[in-house]
Amino acid sequence: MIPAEEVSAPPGKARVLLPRRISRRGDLVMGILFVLPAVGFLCLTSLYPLAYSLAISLGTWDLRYSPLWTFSGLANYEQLFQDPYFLFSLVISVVFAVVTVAVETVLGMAIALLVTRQRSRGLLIRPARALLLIPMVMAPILVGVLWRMLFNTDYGLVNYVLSFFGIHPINWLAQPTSAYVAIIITDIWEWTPFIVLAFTSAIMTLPQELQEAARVDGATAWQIFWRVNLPVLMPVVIIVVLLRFLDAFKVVDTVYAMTQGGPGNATQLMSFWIYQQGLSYFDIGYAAAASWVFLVLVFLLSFFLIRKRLQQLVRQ
Amino acid sequence: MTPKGRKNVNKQPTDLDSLQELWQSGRISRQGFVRAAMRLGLSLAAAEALAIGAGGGALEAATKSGEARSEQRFKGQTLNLLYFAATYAVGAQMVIPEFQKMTGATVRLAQSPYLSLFTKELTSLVSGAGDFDVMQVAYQWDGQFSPYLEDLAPYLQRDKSVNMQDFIPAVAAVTGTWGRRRHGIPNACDAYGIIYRTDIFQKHGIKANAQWTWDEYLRLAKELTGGGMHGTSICGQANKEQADSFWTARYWSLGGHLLTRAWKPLPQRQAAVKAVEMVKSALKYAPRGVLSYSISDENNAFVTGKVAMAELWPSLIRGTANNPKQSKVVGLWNLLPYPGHHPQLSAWSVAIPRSAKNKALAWEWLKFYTSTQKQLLFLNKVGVGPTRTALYTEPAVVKQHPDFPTHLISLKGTRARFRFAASQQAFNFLDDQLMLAYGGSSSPSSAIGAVASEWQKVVTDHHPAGQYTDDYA
Repeated sequence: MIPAEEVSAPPGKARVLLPRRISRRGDLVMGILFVLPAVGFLCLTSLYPLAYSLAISLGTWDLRYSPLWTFSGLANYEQLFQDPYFLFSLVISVVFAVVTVAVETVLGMAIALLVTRQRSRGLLIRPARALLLIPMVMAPILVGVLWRMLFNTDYGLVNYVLSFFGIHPINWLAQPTSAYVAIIITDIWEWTPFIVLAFTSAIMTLPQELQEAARVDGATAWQIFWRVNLPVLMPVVIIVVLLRFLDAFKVVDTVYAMTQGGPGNATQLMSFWIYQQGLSYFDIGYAAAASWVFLVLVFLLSFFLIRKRLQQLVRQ
Repeated sequence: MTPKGRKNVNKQPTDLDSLQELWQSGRISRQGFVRAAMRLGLSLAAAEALAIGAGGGALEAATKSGEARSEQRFKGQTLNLLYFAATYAVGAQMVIPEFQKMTGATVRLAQSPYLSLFTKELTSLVSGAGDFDVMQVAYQWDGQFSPYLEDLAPYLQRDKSVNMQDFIPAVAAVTGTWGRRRHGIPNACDAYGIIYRTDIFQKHGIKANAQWTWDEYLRLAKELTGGGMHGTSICGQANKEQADSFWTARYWSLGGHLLTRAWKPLPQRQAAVKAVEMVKSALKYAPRGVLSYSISDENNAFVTGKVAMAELWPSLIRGTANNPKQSKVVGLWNLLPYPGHHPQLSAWSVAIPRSAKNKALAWEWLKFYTSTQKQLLFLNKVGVGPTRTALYTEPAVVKQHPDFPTHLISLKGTRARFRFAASQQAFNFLDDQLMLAYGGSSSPSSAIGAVASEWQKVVTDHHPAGQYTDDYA
């Protein structure tokens, strides 16, 4: 049996007994040993590639002309911020992420509230969950192919449905604006279910007492949602929005399958643009620099959202 | 005397297809094969070439060239192929069992769609991974891939069974070559043409004339549009890499060149703008959604009888258009060359990466796969355009493929797009701008202006030494 030593405790609290042999230094060593494998794994799989790509971004490495990397300092970054195609892809990516996440969040919340209504809970939740899983489990490239067919001008379902409202067939994927709208619609279709599922689970755990108390006080349904439910749901909303934002910036597959970034560069979102620079044109240094700009942007966004969440926790 | 195990068959084959099947399955002697081939209209030389494979049927060829080798020489080795996932891969799949039986090797075939094939191949070549022993390479990638591919000159010197003089000169000159170096054997070629409905032409009293003009083409497209029928068709955004083919056919026929000999882009600027306008004029008579079409959508529109003319790759439509299960126009179509007779070339070669693990076996595959015998088989079974001249002039082949004489006109006048390292980037930009112009989102002159300025950047810094010649041939 390990001999114990007494540790002083604050007044009024019981004294804590710790094993004598585990000193503070021992704690530290043990802690480091336990954490070391995870840190090593992280370094190997995340930090090393990141550092490697940073090094690549500081040089010229265009495999079309030479297999050799040569140091060029910040030249790639300078070129990036003067490249109108990069800046355009940056702008349309931000707009894409903001619009899709906003619509998905509002729509997701509305559907989640609908399927968790007291009267319809048992009836709707199970079939809704099963149906909502379908878009999420589909490979994104298949989602792109599916929607390319749905948006087909001549035999696509979208134009067929619109024809009932007297709308003439739209050449969805051949015009810049409509092609951009088409990839937004596709993303909303694909990812709203994720938000619905997350919100549904959160709503199901809301304390009923609060809502009943609000109802007794004469609050309307909207007031109950806005002043009682939403503040409680806010932590989940922030996490879901954060995850979706990160994903929305990384869309490649659906763009690849639906529009190839076109017409022109109308749907050339940043991830797709980087893919094209790196893996179609093999300008690896330039693509690495663009990836770092992309990473910093996403990091700043995540930082902002996480800080919001922390502030909320502190307030609570 | 009939070789052991083979006998002359009583039932005479009625076409080259069934004759080849008999020959491949060993049910007919070589002498019998040559005689039957001549009865079907082949010359003695062509029949002999088919029998020995003119470099294919690797075993026969090797024996003939004095390199005695056993049938199982490559037993235990594995040959890894990477092909464009189209008719070329289908053809390869068809003959793999025969090659395996002949060499004792195991063959693995990997396929990739056009858009990702380039990436997959260059990644493998640059990394030197040695994943593949044979790659199918599009001619426009030659400049980029050449440093990573095996120089075939020593192979051709050692093994006289492949004679490059047997290939169509215009195709062989720009396919599987870079500078003076040959790194690939051309295995397929094609040139855009205009596929048309013979019955509809007849109904309207139109006589097909290979010497037609662009104005006549537009006039016919207009005349044939109506009553659910569209005069013409192209493909659009889903295969946007094709957008330049429609434009170059017009631009080249107006006397344009992609670059000057001193590497300045689009020297005939007015002709370049006019060519865009000419494509747009044709679109008036195309199906409504044509700008989002893929090649398959366009093929489908033709074989289901929705369009009277279509600007298509003949090799990609032959198989479908002649298949009664997929086509409503079997026997009701033929080919006209583009007015001006300067279509863009499509050509593929098969090459051996420097990092390949089984180069001797890979060379056997190259000979086998590009032989006259196999090219004829691929033509008949899946519609792949042969690269050997003899196959375009043989009466028996022409009888089976009535579009061949016209196709030869196209192939003779075909032009190559430029092939240096930045060509993919330059043509991607061109395609993007053309799609915007075709759709009316930008004007033809601003699209061409943007292309010229982007090409200036891409070409000026990176063009190879010497004069530019690719589309002056």
